[in-house]
Amino acid sequence: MSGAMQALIVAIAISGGLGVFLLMPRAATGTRPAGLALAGLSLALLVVAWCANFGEGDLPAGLVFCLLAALTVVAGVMTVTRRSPVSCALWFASVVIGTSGLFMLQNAQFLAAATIIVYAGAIIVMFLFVVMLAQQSGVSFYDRTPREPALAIISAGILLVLLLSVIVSTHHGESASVRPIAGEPSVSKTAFMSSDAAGQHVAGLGRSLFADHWLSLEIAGAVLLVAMVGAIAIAARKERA
Amino acid sequence: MLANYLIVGAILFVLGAVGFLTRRNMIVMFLSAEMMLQGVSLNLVAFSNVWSNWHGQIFTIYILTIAAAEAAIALALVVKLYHRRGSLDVSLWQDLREPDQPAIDDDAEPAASVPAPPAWPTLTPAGVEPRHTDEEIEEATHV
Repeated sequence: MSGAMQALIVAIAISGGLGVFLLMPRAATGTRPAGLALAGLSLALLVVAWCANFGEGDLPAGLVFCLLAALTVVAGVMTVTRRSPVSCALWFASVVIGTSGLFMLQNAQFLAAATIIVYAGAIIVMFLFVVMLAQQSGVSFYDRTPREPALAIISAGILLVLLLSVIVSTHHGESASVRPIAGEPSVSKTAFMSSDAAGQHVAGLGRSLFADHWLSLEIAGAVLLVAMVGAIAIAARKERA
Repeated sequence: MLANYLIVGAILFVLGAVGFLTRRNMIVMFLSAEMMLQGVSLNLVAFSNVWSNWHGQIFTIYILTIAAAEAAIALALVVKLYHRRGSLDVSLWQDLREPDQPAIDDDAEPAASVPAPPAWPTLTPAGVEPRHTDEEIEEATHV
């Protein structure tokens, strides 16, 4: 990995961390413009880092990727830093939409739809919870005072620098045309169908799910049942005997 | 292109971690945890696409299932905890900390920094208020 890339990663982490720190909901306001500026700088550097990874002929997909990824990252920052839980829930919905778009870019149409459906339901439930429980008296005290934001952001920034360094040094300049190592026996009984077999995509996914991974499917069903029973047992009011 | 998806996944994971560590509202903490799951899902789908097999997507479906189960149980717990203390503040539950950890004093907010309640628009009173009889006043206080 080149020294310029390393410096870029550190710059992204430092400006992003400072921006998030200044955007944090605190009692003393007035740091928002500086935080927005720093976070925007970090986003611009991030787009530069993405563009350095694009190969030849990636332009249209790269543009869509940059838009969706920028939406996802900005919405993620907003989810963490908004004061009102209702805004947090709405920005998290934007995160879900952005990730679904990124799924769609990667031949995962079914997952894109499933993520939106599952999480949209979850977000609506969350929304109702917030409205029922937390909104009686506006933005409350504990939403305005984050706990130890400096320590959390420093440790998270170190984690981010490490992760990005490993990712970039491993995959820098690699195009998307990586194929499995020749001669390696494939574990899967069902072949992967990419976008050239449009219309067969979900069928292939379902075949793989029910042929290669039937045991994990059974376990997932059992986990859902146990979770449902557990949730009812936890939330039910105790009747006095 | 693979590196870019991994970068976005790492950023989502780290942002979720920051949110989980700093926010005190239990619902926002839960949303942050979900955001970390989104970052991991993005990684898995990217690997699935690059290696041209279904395993990453199957893993992601599994993550969706576990996230649904987790959401059900977490929301049940949040409702229960809210009924106990009447607040979503997670600091109210610091009695559950390790015995050698010091207590967190969160109530040190300076009073001057508390924002005033929003100023609602007021209507200028028009006309003259009619004289109330004693019976009317008596009745109004008892409604």
